[in-house]
Amino acid sequence: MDPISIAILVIAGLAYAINYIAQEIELKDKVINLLKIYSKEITTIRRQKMDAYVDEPCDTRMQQACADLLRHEFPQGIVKKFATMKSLEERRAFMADLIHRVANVMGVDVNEVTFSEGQEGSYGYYRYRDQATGNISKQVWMNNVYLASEPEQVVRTMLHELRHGVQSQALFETDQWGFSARRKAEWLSNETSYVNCTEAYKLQEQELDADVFAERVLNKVNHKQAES
Amino acid sequence: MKYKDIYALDLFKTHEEKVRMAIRVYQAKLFIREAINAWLGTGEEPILEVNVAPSHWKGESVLLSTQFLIHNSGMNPLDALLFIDWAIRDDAGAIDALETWAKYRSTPFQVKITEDMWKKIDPEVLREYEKLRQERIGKLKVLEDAYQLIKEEDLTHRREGE
Repeated sequence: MDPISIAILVIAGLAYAINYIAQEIELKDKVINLLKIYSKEITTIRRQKMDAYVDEPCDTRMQQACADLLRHEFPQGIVKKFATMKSLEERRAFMADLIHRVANVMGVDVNEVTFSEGQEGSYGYYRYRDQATGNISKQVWMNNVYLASEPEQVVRTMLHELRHGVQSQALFETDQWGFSARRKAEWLSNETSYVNCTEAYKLQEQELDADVFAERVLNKVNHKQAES
Repeated sequence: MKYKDIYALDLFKTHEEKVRMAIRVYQAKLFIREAINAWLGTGEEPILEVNVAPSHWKGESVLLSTQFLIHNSGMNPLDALLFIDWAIRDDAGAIDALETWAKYRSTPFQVKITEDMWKKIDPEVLREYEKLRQERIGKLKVLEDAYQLIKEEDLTHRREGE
């Protein structure tokens, strides 16, 4: 082989090696960047997302309608109202009725409200479909344990869970509220990419949306009560 | 234990979730990775605690332990250890999330979408959904590349600067 061919081969080999190393460095950089990006996301993104969550016109109307109803129900605040109800049975009946009335102003269907002694650590849930039968169930379950001790959280959970009902109905039934396609696509994206870990759970679009909704309704209620 | 052993854990269901968690563990501090390694090796519940004092608490602090996170907050051992890792990086953010976690201790909401339900979704929503899906695929590619790079590495491998 002549010297020129050898030189070309060496240069080509070197170019390949340099390109390979550059790719490896680029990949390594990606991992390092990933570390930084993920940390940033985890530490700040949830609060940022909640604060920056832009209400659509239907959100504002729904929050206001719920806040008006809750202010009427709790003129002296949630805790004081619950303090007037001594028995658990009385509180259950009140909450069952309230859930139906709040659902009504939100425009969301609730077929069944149940209360039972549930696992500690869970306030409640909303089931759009029954897990066992697969039928549409639209069921709200609340944990008795907290009805006795944490009324504010019970009300917050009610708002949060009913919002899940709105999300499902807007996606899989007629969207009577007029949410944007993007908002619904985000909820749908959440449905198909569920991540089962504490940190990621807090970033799930549907959970975030339900948290924001409950927080903003209660802020409106508390703001008015503080004024009066 | 290697990162591919994190991927293989049956705690996670989807490929994306498995890749994300392997990388999340890679991102953890060395002593957290060592604790995860020990938990995976022995199956014994990890015992770790850190003192957390967010600046806005003005001198107040709280002892955050894996036992508390596992038994009071309902986390699995891996989540608890990663939460401690988070609290070390950003105590205010982690505590805020823990408080929110406590406020909304509801069962995570998810609907299993049937074929019939897919058909009922507005086509415009499906178009937006497809855009979001493509964005996610692009992000997953970077995660997969990163995972390929780390999957054979030991959890306890001490990296530069550790």
